[in-house]
Amino acid sequence: MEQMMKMLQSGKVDLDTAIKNAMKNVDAVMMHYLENCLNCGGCAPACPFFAAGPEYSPVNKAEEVRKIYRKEMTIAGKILGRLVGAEKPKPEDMDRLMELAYACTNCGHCYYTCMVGIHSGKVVGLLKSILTSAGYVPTLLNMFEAVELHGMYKQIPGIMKIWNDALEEAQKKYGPIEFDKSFKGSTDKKPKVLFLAWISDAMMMRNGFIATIGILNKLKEAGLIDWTTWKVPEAFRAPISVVIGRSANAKKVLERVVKYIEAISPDYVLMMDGGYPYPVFRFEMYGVIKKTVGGKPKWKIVHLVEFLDDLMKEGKIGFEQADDPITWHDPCQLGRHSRVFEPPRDLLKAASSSYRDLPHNREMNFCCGGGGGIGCILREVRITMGQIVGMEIRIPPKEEEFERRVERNHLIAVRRKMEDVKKSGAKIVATACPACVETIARGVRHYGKEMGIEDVKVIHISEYLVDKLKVYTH
Amino acid sequence: MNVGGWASPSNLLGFALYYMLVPSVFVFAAGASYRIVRMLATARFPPAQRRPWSWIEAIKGIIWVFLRPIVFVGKTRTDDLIVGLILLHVVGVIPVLFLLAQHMSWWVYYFPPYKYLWIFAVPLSITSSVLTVTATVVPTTTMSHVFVDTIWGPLTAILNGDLLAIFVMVAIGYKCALRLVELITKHSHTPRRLGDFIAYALLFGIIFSGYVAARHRPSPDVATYMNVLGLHVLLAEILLMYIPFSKYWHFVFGYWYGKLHEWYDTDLKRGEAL
Repeated sequence: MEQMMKMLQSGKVDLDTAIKNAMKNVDAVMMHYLENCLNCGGCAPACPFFAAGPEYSPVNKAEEVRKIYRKEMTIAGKILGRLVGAEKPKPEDMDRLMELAYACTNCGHCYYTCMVGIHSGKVVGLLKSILTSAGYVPTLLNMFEAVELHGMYKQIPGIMKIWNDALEEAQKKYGPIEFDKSFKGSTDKKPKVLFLAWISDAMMMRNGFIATIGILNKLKEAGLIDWTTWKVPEAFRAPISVVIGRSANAKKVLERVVKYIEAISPDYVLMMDGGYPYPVFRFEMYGVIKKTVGGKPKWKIVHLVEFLDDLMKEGKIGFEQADDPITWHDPCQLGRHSRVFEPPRDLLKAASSSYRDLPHNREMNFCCGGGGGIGCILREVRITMGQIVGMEIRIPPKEEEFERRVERNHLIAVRRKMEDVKKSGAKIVATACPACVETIARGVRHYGKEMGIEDVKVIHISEYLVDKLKVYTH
Repeated sequence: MNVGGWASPSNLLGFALYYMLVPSVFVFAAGASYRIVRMLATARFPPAQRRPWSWIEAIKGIIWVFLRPIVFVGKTRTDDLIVGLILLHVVGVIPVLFLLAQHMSWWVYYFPPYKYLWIFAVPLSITSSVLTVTATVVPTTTMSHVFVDTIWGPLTAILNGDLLAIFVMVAIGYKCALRLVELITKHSHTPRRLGDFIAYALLFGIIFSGYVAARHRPSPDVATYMNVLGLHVLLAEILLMYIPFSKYWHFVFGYWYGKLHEWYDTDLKRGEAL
């Protein structure tokens, strides 16, 4: 533990250096986000944390970075200082800034509703990178990052047991998996798929993880695809570093994963996780992939729902239709950030005649409030992780206070999602992101009785589809 | 006050028109260039695994990029839609600046092709559209039912300089009052920015001086009129210089860049999985 704590603090710099480093990353788009805010406050109702207090409105959170930017990067700010809202944070501001930074899931709802197209989530991301560099980062996220960056999870029996047990159960249920199978030089014309599964999939969406393997094995048995996955993952949920704004570390993890993908040489890199890994691989850090590969990769990054929807449109698969009242919660990273709105709906409509949308859906979907690492820094997660790694994870009393406030805000944030679920009348909420699954399930536990929705189940979409999947071999 | 004649710096109109126009345009151009060049210098084009897109989807996308926030604010903050968007922008500053007959004549003077928009000109009031410094607002005939004839037909009841100016002043008043209440109650969902109040004060000054000048107040003599109109033009020039360094930049660049970038980012770069 001591060794890990030392490692966690190793990259720490003073606040001024952290600010200067962050400001070096301000490009034209970030400049627009920082300089062109009209202060209309139109973004406020979009944010799930706004209900916890007006100080959590996206514009208020982003303003903390704008103050720093004005002081550091503008002439007026340097000369006139606070008169023009230019100010660097003082040590006593840091706790407040931490609270603001971890009251943003980077859901992108404020981006879509901003009159001038400002993505406040990205601005808060810059704040997180400053805080992290200066050593202000939640212990649990810091640990998750170190565990992934240095591959330490491979030495933690508790974590590997979860992964191996899930694989074993999947194989018992749906047949064997060919691990680490390289498709290099293969002349087989069937699409070759690498299932890029994360440890978090097995840990937080165990049934969905097993069901995804079931789906892939069904497709393989019918001769539609060939697929493989890794026996020992190269990452926990790559790259965790983006959640706390350490892009250099994110790059390292990404490179490691990309090297593995290249060795396998698939046609498709398929993810079941609709959280941040999908847009990071496909859009945000695709440049790192190109650089690592030395050009445009031959493989495509797809989400499971896109892949299945394409097969369904080609008439290769179908679903036995049930009539369960089911709905789809758009994970913000898969939906707003990656524009995958229709494929999961097509699939669920084919699998249930009683599918219905949530009142707020697609671009206007209500974020559950669990992303951006927030769902991972709660007390119950800390205790559970302690049990998994076999030691008590202790945090300083001040951070315990922070944890309690995050927990309070998190529960307030999920409430409107639960109201939406209630209005929809759905009994099953399908989604594709571990943070969403955990958060909405937590919302059901907390508000279920009060709202009369305690019997609502929250699942990964694979769980619903696997047994209904029909593969046409003609 | 009008010592030295029409073009003298001793009256505000002469000073504004003949001494301040060029410097204000220069400051605006320099400021605007500074901001745009800074952005160009830091522009990056990170690659992405894009989806194929069609023109139809792209056109639908750009319409929604502009409409989505308006629909959202209409549902969540109706007062801001009415005051901020409708009164301040749609039936406020935009038609006053670009369609008010007096302003159109100014635009045409500096940019002759603008004359093709004359047909859409909005009159100063529903009873007078006379374009002269000596015109009075009251109908010049003894008949009390003489109204101007514009392409806007009955809409002229709203689309006239008098009412549009009032809309803007009401909207600014509301916005300032809201900000002050938030400041006092310390319950604000937006940050406190001094620039907001400067921007509102400047706009209010321009609209109010224009409104007063058009009505030949506070006294109907030519010298007063020239000074009030001069103040109106001078404040507009100050605003022009202030634009690149203030929230008014959205009107020239920020809004259009922001929306086009959002369209590129969401619809062209990421596309939509259909």
